Amino acid sequence: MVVNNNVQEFKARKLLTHAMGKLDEDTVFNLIKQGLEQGVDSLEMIEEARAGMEKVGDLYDKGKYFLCDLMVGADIFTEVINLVLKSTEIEPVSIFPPIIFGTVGGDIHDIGKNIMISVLKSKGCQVYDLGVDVPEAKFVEAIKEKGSSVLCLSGLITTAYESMKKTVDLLEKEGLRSKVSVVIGGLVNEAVKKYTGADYWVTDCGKGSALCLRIMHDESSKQVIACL
Amino acid sequence: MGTIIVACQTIRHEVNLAITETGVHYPVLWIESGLHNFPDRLGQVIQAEINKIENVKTILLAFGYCGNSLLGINSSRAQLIIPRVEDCISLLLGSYERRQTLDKEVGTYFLTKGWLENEQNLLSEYERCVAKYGKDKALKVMKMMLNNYHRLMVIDNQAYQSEEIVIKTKCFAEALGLNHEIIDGSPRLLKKLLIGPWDDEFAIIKAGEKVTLEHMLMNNIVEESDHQRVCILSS
Repeated sequence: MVVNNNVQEFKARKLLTHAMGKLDEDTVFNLIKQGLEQGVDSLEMIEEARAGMEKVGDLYDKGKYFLCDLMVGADIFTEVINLVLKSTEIEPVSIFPPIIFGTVGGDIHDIGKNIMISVLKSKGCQVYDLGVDVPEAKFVEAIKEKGSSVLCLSGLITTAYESMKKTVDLLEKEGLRSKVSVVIGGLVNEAVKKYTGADYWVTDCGKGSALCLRIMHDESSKQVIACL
Repeated sequence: MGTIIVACQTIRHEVNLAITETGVHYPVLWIESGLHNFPDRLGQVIQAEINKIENVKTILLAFGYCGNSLLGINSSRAQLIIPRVEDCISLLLGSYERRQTLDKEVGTYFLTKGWLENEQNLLSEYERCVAKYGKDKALKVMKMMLNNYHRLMVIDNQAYQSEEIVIKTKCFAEALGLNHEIIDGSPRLLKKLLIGPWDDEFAIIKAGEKVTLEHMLMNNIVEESDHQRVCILSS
């Protein structure tokens, strides 16, 4: 597929979203390369690809796609972000300390975590990834070391809820709770949020990354007001 | 006023064996398989079936918490007895603790014949992926899915001839670079669900009450001594 040197056409036709939704890897990568050459805004391209991933998710929920399709989608989307990050100078949101991120103790799942970290990086966020099966003390240590105000805890199994709760409890014990917003993600819901004592729960990487940015900006505004 | 079992079709072989071995004569309502990747829908199906049940005092749910799928489940007429396990793997291994021990050894993906027959499982997804996207892509996404897993373990509860599935699981493990092991299952927890006692390994939900996360979490299960549990497992 060729876009005739026309940024507007590229945007208007939502070609990338369409190709992503169809899991048409070659077309997705061609469009990204053309978009980069033609100066299409990198964040817009990532957003279009992410919208395509939403379509993939919808089709999975409707039973038209299967788990392997979802995984292929995740693979293509990650590649898209890597391609864009490699070729573009994303303006870093460097005034903020890094977001601390990890899969909690007892859990080793990391697909969702890795995708969300990629999306956050594509938006200029610094992320300190602690990996999987992370003990609560490691999270708290990282918060202290980096001075972070956002902690993202990922978990895909029920055992993870207890680890999330322990991490929040340890933040409280260390006197850090009021300074840190805790976002949980994965197999979570309102009941899990309440049980763990977290501040927010997300199951969508797009919404999750937007939430993290909003929290950081809100925090920053509060600090400016405090300085005044 | 009697008892009915509501059970997941995926563990049909093992549940039937436990019924035979305990000699209980409760009717069984099988819940369709294939919904484990959609916990909300699984919960809705279980609730719809429970709503149809009348004239029983007790409903035994042969399920794990299965990704919050049991959250909010209730019966206005009967008490619900539910094993406090995160999913059916602990049910088939005989205890929550045994599952935890195996998980702590190394990241382990468990399979049974029921999973291979009834669910969207790793093997069927791999085959589907190879057919649709080619072998290279299939291997790449499967490795992504199984990142941090190092072992594929078949649970053998003597409920069927495991040899027939082991040929497939071994090939798959080899292709993905996973260690392949077979482990003896244990009917202990399933039998205990059927005949009691319903101690702290079970959530007892009274008629009209809803299942909450707190009912199901396993952190406050009183630890039995290792010796006692090992004895029960091997019995």
